[in-house]
Amino acid sequence: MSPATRLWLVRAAWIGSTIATGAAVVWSAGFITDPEANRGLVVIAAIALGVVGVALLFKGMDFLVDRLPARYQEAVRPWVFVGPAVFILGIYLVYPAINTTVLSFKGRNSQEWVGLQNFTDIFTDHDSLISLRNSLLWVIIVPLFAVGIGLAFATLADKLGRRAEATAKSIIFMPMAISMVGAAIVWLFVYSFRPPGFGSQIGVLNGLWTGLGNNPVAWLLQEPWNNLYLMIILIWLETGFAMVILSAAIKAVPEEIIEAARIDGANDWQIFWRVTFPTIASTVVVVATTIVITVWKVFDIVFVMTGGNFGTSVVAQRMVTEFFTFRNAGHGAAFAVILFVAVIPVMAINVRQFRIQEERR
Amino acid sequence: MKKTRIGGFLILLIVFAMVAAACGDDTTTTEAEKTSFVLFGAPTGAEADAMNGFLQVYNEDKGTDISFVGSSSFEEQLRIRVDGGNPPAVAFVPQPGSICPFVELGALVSLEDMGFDIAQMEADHSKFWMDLGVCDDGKHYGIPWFPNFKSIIFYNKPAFDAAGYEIPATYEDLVALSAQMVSDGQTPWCFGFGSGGATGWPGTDWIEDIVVRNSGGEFYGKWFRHEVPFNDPEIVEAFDLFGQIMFGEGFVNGGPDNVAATTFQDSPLPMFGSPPSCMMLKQGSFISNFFPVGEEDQASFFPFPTIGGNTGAMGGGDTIIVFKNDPAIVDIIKDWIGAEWGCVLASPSGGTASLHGGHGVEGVERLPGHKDISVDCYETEGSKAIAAQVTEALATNNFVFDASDLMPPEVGQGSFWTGMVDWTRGTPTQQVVDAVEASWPTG
Repeated sequence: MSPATRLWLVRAAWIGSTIATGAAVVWSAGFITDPEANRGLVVIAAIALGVVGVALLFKGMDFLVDRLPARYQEAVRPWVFVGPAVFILGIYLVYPAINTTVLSFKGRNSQEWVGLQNFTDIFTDHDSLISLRNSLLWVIIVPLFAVGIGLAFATLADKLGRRAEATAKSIIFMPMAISMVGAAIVWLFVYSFRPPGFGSQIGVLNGLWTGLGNNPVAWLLQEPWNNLYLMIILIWLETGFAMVILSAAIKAVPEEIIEAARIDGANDWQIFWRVTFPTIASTVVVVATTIVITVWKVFDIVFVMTGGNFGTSVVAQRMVTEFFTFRNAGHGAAFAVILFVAVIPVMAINVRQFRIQEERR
Repeated sequence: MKKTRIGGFLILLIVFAMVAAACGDDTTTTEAEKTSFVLFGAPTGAEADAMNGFLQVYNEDKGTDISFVGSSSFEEQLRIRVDGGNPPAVAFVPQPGSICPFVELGALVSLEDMGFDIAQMEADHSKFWMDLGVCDDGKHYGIPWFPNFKSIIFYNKPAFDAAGYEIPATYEDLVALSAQMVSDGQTPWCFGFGSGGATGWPGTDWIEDIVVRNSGGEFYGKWFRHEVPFNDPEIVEAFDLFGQIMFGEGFVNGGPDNVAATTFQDSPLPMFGSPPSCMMLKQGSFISNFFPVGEEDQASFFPFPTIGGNTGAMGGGDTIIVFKNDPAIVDIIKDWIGAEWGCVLASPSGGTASLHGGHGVEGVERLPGHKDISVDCYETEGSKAIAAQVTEALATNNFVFDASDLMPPEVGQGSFWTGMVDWTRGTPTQQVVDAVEASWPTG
């Protein structure tokens, strides 16, 4: 076979496979939009289409960059690869954020400009103020307890044997695997209440409570404690996360420093507060701020447990109510902006601390 | 070498162009032989099964392919789908107040544009109901489908008969009867205001039934249109009348404090069994779907008593809205709201009057939304009696809608609900009505 023939064969194979891939893409695009098609196969086809599509996109872009004059190639290449991600983030994140901010200065149907009216409404309305107050309480209490308990567990587990430590940590970490809605439903059964005449109590807490000879209590209606009962759920979920990260940080504290402290006569309590804690402080900040961000956005738990009734509403839940129940896009967007603004400084601290931590490594 | 790579690039471009062209004309390949769309609504559970049963009968008879999707967070989901540019073809809303916002978004098709005969519909389904679907542009957007009737009080019949109680004719009689039951060692009332995010709505029904009787239908109209303020003395009076029952000593099973902790679905349960833990429950006709299976016979009902000699028929109703103008869909909806297919939706068997049987789900009945739907579409005497009252009210335009469904959502789905919860938990009446009035959106 002459080199020329070979070249043509390779070329033919290349063209043929390109056309075949193109045809496959077209066919699967048609297939996944066909409502009659088997849903399982559609999922597989969609995944295949996505993967092949992205691969083709990058291959094509790379191919185009190769065509550029050599001196531009390396300057352009990173942008070509990062470009689609930036573009998609722009559409799905930056544009909605800007649009929401714009909507927060418009009326309930986003038609006319109302200036700061939506914000003054929120800061004068009784129910909205309650949701702001509750969110602030959530943001203070949940991270405090989640980090505190997580840190305590991480420190104590560190003293256990290897196997016991692994077991204890797995148990505490387990709630992390449950979605917020799932956790809320689990806890709905913990707090469940039935007035007399509805048969026996099915709630764990009321089962214990009535077992001690008390009358059943509608826990979720007890203002203001019901807020705390809801916070316990998120603490239960987030403690595992705090524990795992902090445990890793504690294990990274150099053994030499601790031994030195011990030789100097420090007891365990002193070692923890004077040596371990200062060393892991930046990790504690990162964990705490990460949880704060989660807490600001909490919606599912309140929505499932009380629907925001009985003085338990929070900002994110109120935002959904304003948007979709009251159909007031202005108020809803204003709540979103408040949430956004509240999260930004926490996010900044989080990123800064994380960077400091990375530099130290 | 350079040359061949550019050649390859050109070929690639051609391939891409072909792909694009092929994608472009992909849309016209499938021709719909049968009408197929999704009906979106709020019912879930047994009520959704009944809807599916009805559609199955209809699809088999007409060769259509219509499916039902129900969601317990229907209001939110519908708004999300409309905002996202993916509305269902047809939906039915329990709150007529939610219709016009969709018109403002340009999402709905008017009855005028679909060629419905408005005058005929007003005669068949009552002008009051048709008027609820009229929006700012003066066109009709709501198609009355099936109502529910809330002016009824369920009671445990065997226990009533055993104690020799009489059905109260007036509200004073009702309060006196409740006091009598307490002195006989019975708890008269069951309540359940719990309903997730909608907690409190069963309380609004009480206020509405009292307002329509105590202050008259005209005042009722002014009230929900906000031509009188929510903290009007007449409304305070209605709360006080309700308070005679809610706060009567020993009147309420579990006490008023716990009314909001009981879901409305669970609220009838204590009324069954012997002895029952409560004797009476005021709730819409639909609540019979939540009675314990096998014990339904124990429950009977009487109309909400008169106040100052005034009767009233208060209820709600599911109203169809259409997002897609398609003559085939219009014909289907005309079938559904008519007397013939209304009979299928009415009861599991369709009674003795249905030409196509019923929806097949035991225990679910839907009241007539058309004045010509026969009472013989229903199975039990109780349902027949309510159906007769409803068709009569539709024919004479005396069927009043639930006011909270007609108020702006901030009130009707917000502060009025939470106000009822606060009120049962001890907030003074004046404070409650002032808070609701303050929440009424301006402009």
